[in-house]
Amino acid sequence: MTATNDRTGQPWLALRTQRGEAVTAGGFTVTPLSRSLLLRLPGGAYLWHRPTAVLVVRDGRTTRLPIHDTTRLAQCAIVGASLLLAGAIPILTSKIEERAS
Amino acid sequence: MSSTPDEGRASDPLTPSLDQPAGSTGAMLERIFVAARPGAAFSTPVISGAYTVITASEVGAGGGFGAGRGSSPQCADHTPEQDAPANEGGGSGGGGGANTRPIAAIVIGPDGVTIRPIVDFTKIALAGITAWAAMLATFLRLRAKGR
Repeated sequence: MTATNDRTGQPWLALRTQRGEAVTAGGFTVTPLSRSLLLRLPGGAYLWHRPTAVLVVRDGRTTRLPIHDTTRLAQCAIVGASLLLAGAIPILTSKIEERAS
Repeated sequence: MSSTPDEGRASDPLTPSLDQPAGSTGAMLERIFVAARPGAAFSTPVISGAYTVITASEVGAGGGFGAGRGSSPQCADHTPEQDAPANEGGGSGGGGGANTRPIAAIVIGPDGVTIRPIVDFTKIALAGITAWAAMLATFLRLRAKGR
């Protein structure tokens, strides 16, 4: 996906899936896949590039192994749980107060 | 005729020469965009015995710049015929940074290819502590309101 700047003709937003150089070892051919997000603004630029999967070829059979960012998943789970709890605390507190009164 | 690694690097239009200073903003941005290449996210394979290991990393890079120019109000209508010197000023600045975090190791061995996650426990612990502190603050504020 690419969005181009009309004035300069350069993409200001580009989301690409790329293939890295294939590595052959032990009868396996491993091709890494990654995804990059490029944001080009008039005063600067930002780039985020992360690996997504590897393609493993052996005896003509191709298998796709996804790469999960465990640290990011755990962080999202903690933030999500805390947001849920932060939303639930006022409701629980008001219910407890109602019962007490 | 043999070719050196430097010759190969110079022929690659995406790879900036390390000897060339980033004189312009464009050159600086191009250096950031080098991180968009697939090689930036995957390390070169490391071979140890029957195992080959490739590290997969998340790369984040950014940079920005700004410039400004201005003159004092009394000199805004200054004409060249006038002898008074123009009271003008200008400046520019910029900055940037990059961050790489390993997220997994791709291990190619006799048993096959496995993806082993690399967990940053410090980051998870910091997220947990921050979330717990925020929840505690919310709870204490509600408790204080109730009184």
